[in-house]
Amino acid sequence: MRERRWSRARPDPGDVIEGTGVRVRTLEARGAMLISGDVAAGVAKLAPGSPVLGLLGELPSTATACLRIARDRGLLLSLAPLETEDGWHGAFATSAADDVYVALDIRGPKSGGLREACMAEPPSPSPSAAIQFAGHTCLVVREDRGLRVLVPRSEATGLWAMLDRTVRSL
Amino acid sequence: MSGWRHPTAGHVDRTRPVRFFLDGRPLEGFAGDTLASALLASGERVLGRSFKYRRPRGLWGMGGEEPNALFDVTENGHTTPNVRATSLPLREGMALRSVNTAGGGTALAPSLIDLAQRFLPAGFYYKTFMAGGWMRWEPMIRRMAGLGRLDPGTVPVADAPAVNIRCDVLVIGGGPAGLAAARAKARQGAAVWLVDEAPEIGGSLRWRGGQIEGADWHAFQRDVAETVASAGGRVLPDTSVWGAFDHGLYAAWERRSGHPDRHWRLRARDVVLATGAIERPLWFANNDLPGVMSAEAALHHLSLFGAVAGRRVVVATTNDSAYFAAEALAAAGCRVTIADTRQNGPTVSDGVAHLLGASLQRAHGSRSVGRVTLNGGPDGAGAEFDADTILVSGGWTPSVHLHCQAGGKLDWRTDIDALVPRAGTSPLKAVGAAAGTFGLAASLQEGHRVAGGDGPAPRAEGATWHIAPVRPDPTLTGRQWVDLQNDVTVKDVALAAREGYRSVEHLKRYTTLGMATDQGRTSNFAGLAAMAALTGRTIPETGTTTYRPPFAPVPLGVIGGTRRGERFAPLKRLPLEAAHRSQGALMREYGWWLRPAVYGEDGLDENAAADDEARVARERVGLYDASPLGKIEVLGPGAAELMDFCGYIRMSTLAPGRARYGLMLNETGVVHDDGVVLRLAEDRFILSASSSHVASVRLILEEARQDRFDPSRVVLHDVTDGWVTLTVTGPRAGAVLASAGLPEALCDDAALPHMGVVETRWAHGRLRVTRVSFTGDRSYELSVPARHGRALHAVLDGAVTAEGGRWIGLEAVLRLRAEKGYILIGKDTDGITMPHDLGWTRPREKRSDEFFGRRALFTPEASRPDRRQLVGLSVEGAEALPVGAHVVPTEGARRSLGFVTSSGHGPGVGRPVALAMIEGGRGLMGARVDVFHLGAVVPARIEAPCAFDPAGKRLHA
Repeated sequence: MRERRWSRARPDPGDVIEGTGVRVRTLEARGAMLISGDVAAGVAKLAPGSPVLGLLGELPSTATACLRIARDRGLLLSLAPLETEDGWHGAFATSAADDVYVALDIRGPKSGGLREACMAEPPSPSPSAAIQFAGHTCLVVREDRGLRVLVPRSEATGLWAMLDRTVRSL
Repeated sequence: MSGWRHPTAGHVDRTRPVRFFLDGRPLEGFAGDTLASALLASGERVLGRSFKYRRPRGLWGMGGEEPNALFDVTENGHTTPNVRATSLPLREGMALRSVNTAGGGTALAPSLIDLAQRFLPAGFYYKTFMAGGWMRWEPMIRRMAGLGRLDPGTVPVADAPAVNIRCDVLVIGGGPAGLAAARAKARQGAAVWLVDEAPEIGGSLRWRGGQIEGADWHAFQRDVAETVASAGGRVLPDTSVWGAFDHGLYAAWERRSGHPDRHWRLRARDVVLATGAIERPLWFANNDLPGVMSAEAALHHLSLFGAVAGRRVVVATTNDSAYFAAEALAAAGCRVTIADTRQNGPTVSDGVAHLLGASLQRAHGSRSVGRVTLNGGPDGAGAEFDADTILVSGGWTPSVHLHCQAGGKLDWRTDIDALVPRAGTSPLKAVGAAAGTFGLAASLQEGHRVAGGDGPAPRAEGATWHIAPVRPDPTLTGRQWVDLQNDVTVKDVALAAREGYRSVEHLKRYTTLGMATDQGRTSNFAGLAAMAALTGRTIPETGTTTYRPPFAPVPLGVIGGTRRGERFAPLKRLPLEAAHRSQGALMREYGWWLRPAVYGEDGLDENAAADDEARVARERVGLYDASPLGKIEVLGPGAAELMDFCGYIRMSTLAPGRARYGLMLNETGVVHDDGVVLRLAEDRFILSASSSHVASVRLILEEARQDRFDPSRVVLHDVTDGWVTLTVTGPRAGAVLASAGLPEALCDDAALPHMGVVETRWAHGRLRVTRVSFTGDRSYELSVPARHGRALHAVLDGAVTAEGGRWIGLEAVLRLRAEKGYILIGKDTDGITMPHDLGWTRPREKRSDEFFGRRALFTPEASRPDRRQLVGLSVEGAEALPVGAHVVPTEGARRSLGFVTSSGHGPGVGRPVALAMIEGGRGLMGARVDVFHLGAVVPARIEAPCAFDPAGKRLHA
């Protein structure tokens, strides 16, 4: 009945993949909130002045920012979970998503190679931060010369295994 | 006589001999050789046997078109089957095993199969082996089926990296036209990727040489490489572009020495196709003998490796290109006779015999060419010559595969007797020989012009080749091979035409023409031309077969890359997986999730363990991880309307704070999923889709939201991954909650009745509790943000243990739900199950508003009284019915009334229970049936699906 012995779930907090010229590590869970509908109105109300970022947009490390997922959907990243009630707020809706994604940080002189191995970037800057990254639908932005990849929590093990293997082949 | 090594020609390193083995015999080549050149220079003529008739076969070509010289190559204990000798560099210690042979290609006596060839025409197996049952013959045919053998001991390393690249211009092919196009584009500042399958760019310049812009071609080659690099591009040798796919994606396989091969996924704004052309064979009797080879290939092997095809050479041609090869071989010391089908041809050097208007009729020899028979020429019909080698050039076929894979069309050009890409029908711009432009000067000019090059094109000398058409002659005596790799002859094509397989697609399938690993590079045109001639049609009227990737065989390991084992199709993982494992959970896949199946030590009896877990849950309390249950939030003033449209059961009538079971159909009315909908506010629902259907349910909702409703009034948030859900179930479930330190209100049935939901807070923050049951007992689903899952796990673990309960795995849950008659979509339903088949009839009968799938519920098929319906089955004895077993009548002819969908030991009823889908099942309550499985028959009785607590009292107990 046992089809396969699967390796244990990864990554745990603090896990790191070290390769020649590239380092992947998990980031501490912070706050995240899904905003749909009038995203601009939602951002203006919940985190005024926060930028709305597309693919490879520059994420400010000490402030909130909204990662656009679709035309009318975004993920508001904050330094800590927001206490906004889930639901409809007139022109937009919110749902706490603090734990929906696992955040990974990729950096190093060879991180470009890892990026090319994992995703096909569109010809022009994409307004959406969502993209297939090593076969998983992730949100990908830049942060302080590194890459921040947000992968759905249930898929983090699969992505981690793929990154681990890919880093070794760079 | 056979091939030999010229003492000075070529670029091999004669100071570094390389030893290798052919079918166990030691041979020697030099560093810089390919396998093909080393074999040719070693004098090896017979390199393998043919696929069907097992005739001896020798080297024919110089690249991916090679149909004969295939080997299983063992290197460092790793065997790769069916490697083309023309594409692999020679390395020390390589062991080659020839294909379609037993004991080596050279060791065999004349093939018995070949002697019986009269009785083995095309399609003989379709006709012959139907007699007596195909299954009798299949094992024998499979044993004989050709090509190489996989080595079960070889497990290729999953290490080929994949790289995504976007560039301005992709130039496929580094011959003269490709080089000119690449330089022109790079000079405009474009980032050009120049990809070529050879180890060095230059294409035919590498073996033909030439002067470009007044200097040796190498200066032009260097200038192109430097210009490309300085503009941010890249030259990628040893790389085959093997497929053109939708949305401008091109796949390429890069062969690397000392490193794993690499798989490129290339996307470019412009693509230039400069893949050249492939030399056609000629068709005469015994044209498959070793010693017959492409004239251009012979030139290639001589110029680059010093490997000479033979001593006494007949060059049979229809065009100018082969003259260069003839002159080069004569200069190398061969006795050369040119036999040109045309009445005029270029002048030749002294010492080269030149026969005009002469065509080959037959090659003689048993294992290799010994003599040839010519028709025409100065000696008239039937003149015979001694010759050990026949070099042929029947014209050129442009390599249009990638153009056609990208959707391009072809035009027929009579002047070159070839199909060429029709401009504008694919994103690729063909240049050079790929576009039917032959000759160095013309190719350079075209590459430069098509790339929009500034200024004059690179200058070069050389006239455009003149090519005369030639066709297979079905009236010629003897067998003429059209497809060397799949052993298809002109007679086979004629047979196909006689039997009505006149379409080229039918011809291909009937004769297997062009279906081998060479993808018909040297055979498709001949088959097409022969069929056109036999049926009195033109070649454009006859058409071509469909071009599909891969253009060349690509190792699956390269396409798969590092996706092997767990990385092939990674499962979703629970946030609490480590905690479950620490408690002895045996993990198994359920609908793309890795979940606890049972708990216990390794080696336990899983069935017994699951039975025991289910018993404890029925008698006391069980605790299981239900985190994969969907949590799709539907939000906004239009939420209720969307839920009503997408669901079979209306949800707009659901009060806030309440939950309701529902079904979702697809557009054909078939049940797609079931689940519980929670209403938390007038404008907020949470759809708890079943674990494996969350993504598809969200897509159905999203499509309706965007296409049918005002998307600014309703939105979706899938937050499934952000929550941990643990379910407490059993008669002691309430007591567990009371002792777990959770808010007291949760234990108040008035505040939280069955099918009620509350959002509250506990010590660690947010907590949502729903009173729904998948087991038939009082149950609570407790959901917390994933970061607090460990804390909830700890609290409930202690409380459940204190109440005499335990963790239960999915196997126990499935037992509990089966005796309650709760269905699993996809297990108890199939691709035709509609809601009324499951007993959910009222919405179909009563709902007057539109909902997804509604119209399909009233078709004649949907209204048939004998549709399969969900029922329960009871059996005597202790053995559970096998799932999938057929339910048959107890009397009369045995036919399937339906099948068992779920089965197991019912922990509450203490006997086996089963669910089944049976024709008109609800009208057969109490009827006796037989359950038939693998020849055994077990009597059973049809009952209601719910075998346990049909009144539902335990939900409230």
